[in-house]
Amino acid sequence: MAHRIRKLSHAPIILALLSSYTSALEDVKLSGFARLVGGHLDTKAAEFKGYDDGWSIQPSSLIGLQVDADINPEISLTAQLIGHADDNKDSGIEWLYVTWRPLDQLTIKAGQLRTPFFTLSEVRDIGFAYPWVAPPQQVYNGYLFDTYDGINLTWGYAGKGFDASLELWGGRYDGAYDDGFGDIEYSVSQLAGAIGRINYRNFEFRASRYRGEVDLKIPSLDQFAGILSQYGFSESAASLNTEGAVDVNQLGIVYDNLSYFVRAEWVDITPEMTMIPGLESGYLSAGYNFTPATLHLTFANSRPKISSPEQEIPLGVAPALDALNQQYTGIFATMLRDDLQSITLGCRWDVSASLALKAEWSILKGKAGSNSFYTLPADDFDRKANLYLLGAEWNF
Amino acid sequence: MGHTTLVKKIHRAIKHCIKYLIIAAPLISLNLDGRDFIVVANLTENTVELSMRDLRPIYMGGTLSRSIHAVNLPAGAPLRISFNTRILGLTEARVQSYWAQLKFTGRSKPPLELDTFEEIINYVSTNENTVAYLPAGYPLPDSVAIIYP
Repeated sequence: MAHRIRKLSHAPIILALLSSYTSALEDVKLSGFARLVGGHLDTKAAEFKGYDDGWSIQPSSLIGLQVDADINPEISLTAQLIGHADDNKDSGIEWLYVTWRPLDQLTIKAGQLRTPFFTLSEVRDIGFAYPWVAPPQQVYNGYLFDTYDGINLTWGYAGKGFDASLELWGGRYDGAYDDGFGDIEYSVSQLAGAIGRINYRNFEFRASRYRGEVDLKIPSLDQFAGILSQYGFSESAASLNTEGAVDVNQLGIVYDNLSYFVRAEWVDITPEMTMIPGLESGYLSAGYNFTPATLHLTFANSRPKISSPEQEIPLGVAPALDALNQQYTGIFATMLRDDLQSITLGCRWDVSASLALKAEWSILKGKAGSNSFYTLPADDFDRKANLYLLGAEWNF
Repeated sequence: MGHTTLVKKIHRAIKHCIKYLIIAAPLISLNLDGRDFIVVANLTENTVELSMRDLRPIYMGGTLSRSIHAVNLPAGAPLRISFNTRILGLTEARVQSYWAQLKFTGRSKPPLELDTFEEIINYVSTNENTVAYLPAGYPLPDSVAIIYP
């Protein structure tokens, strides 16, 4: 909620900037996108991405509006607002930044920007830009935050027959995430990343690396770590540290031609703190064009990286120590384990230059005892289900 | 009487054919079915020489598109489909979804769209560092050069 208020607090700034420059603006353009997505999960035992055993349009349906205002040929202002059908998602300003192009090769953006972690991270809300109704959950799962406040520098290079760019970005983020038991506030400082991209003929290669200092605000955990320290279990206390760096690496490739496309992406998230699970995930997708329709098949997988608790607190010595041990190991037992394999068969039909209809069927194979990106799974649920999605995507 | 009427009818039919050929001839020579086109450019002396493989980054928001500006026909135009197919190697749907990605992330803006060949050649001939495609055989002013084929 605090995050939402913070985002909306930018609105007067952009409006003031736009109004003060109205007379000087060379060009103002309004564009937008919208998606209506319906989904159904064929089990009563859990929810997946907000979908349950009924049909629902709330989790992914949205509308977005973007205003681009050119102050002069080098400087422009951009604001993008998104309204989600789902009340639990923050609606409001998603992008709000100024762009300066001092050279043909150099673009500098500053303000509130979408985090460009993965190939589709910046356009996850714009379904018209990709073939699926929902990009593979194992990679595009919301593990990482969507926006940051900071700066982004992109240097482009046009070679003979190829185009390359190096993107450097940095900033900070304050927000909250839902761990299944409630919102946990956290901040990410010293956030920095580098993205290399090469376009050669019909190939696009992308490699990136990011790092940020994360500080989770969990007072109850800090208190418990303090108790462990008092009893002399310093390693156990250190394993509950809620501050530390998180490293992210990514590789992606896209190939498309008139007949078919291939997309693949690999992502590795490695936190320094044992309290945050790491994740290695990826997907391989191939599609065939039966213009105006595209049929595609995707295999995706994720493997969590969970640290083991320290074996420092003795068992069977005293009841108080047994209770302490049980409470300590219980914290690790509740950590999210998102093992998930999925196979998705989908179809995209481009009705016109601005409208696409999509349908897809995903076979989800999670791991018993693991979370597998499900929410509220019943204890006896085997983490296997089918997800059916239908979507209409507009681009205007 | 009947014979005269028949001759008149034949004469009228021949006139119609000639009239049709006169109207249709330029269209035939311009290949408006979208199967044949030329790519033209108005480049300054300082601009590097362009080749066919430079056209993809220029039309798809690459770094070259900042210094050399592309001109498109509206989506659905037969010549645009032909250009997308032969030069970009992509379907119109894929081009549109790619541009949705670039536009809404602030990376680039789509090429200028003009409705007619006359508007296109007027724009290219009066604006330096611009590129466009036109039907093969389209009359060109001196300021514009053919870079493809």
